[in-house]
Amino acid sequence: MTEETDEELVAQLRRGIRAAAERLARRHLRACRAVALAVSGEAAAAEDVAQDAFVQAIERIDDCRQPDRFRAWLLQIVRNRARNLVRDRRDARHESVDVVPLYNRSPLPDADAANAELRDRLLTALAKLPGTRREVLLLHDLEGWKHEEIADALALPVGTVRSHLHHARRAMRRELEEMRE
Amino acid sequence: MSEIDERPIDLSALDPERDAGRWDALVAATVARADAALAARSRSALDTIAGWSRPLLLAAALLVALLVPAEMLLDARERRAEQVQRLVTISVDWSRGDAPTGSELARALTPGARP
Repeated sequence: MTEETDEELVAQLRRGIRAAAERLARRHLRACRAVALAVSGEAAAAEDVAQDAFVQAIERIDDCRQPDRFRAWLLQIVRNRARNLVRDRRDARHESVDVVPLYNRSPLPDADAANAELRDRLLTALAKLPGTRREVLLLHDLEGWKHEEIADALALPVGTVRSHLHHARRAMRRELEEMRE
Repeated sequence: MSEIDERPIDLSALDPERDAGRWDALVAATVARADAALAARSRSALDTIAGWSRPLLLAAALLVALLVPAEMLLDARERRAEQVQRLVTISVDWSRGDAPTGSELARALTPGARP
């Protein structure tokens, strides 16, 4: 059986078919979380943002003008929510003296201490990259998206995506190397 | 320009499904919230229809309330007019020497009787 396209699932959602929401969540929630992580730099917050953004997209599904581009539309909602979160946290930091930096804040519980340390190092290195490069790197090297898919979701030329990925990897290797020394 | 870096960075430490139980719980919670949002959406559509139907029903009831007495009034007038018409016809015929029978006279004097 062929898998339904996003466009078909959006049409089902508009008819109130709830199973379509589950299929879309299973298909896109990881990418939502990756984009939220790229913008916020915080794993726990990224999960909250991904969930909130997905629910918001379902609530506003009638506003999705190009159902065949549902994924790009959804990720834009994620980006906006994550940016709002970062801005709110920054504002709060100016008001409070004991707020910890956004990156590495409230790490997820991780039974594996070595993995927790590695995750923190990766997040710290990621924080040094420009936002778009973080997003490209996470979507490609973590989520396994193709260059063309990233280009479509980010509305960038494929060549630019390749260039961002190249520079992001180089910068990450350098940062991680420096951390080891 | 230097060679394109084709080697992926190992980001598996950031993979949300390293803790599969936690990730499944997040997906389930997201689906539950999406379900609730969809239910609220369809409720709101029904409310919109209800919002339209309520005044429409009220207007229809008002129309019926006005039309029924009007119809009854017109019907009564019509019956009276028919009765007068029958009496006039009988009187004219009688004056010409064509005397009505008892039953014709009774019908003409009975309101609502068919000619």
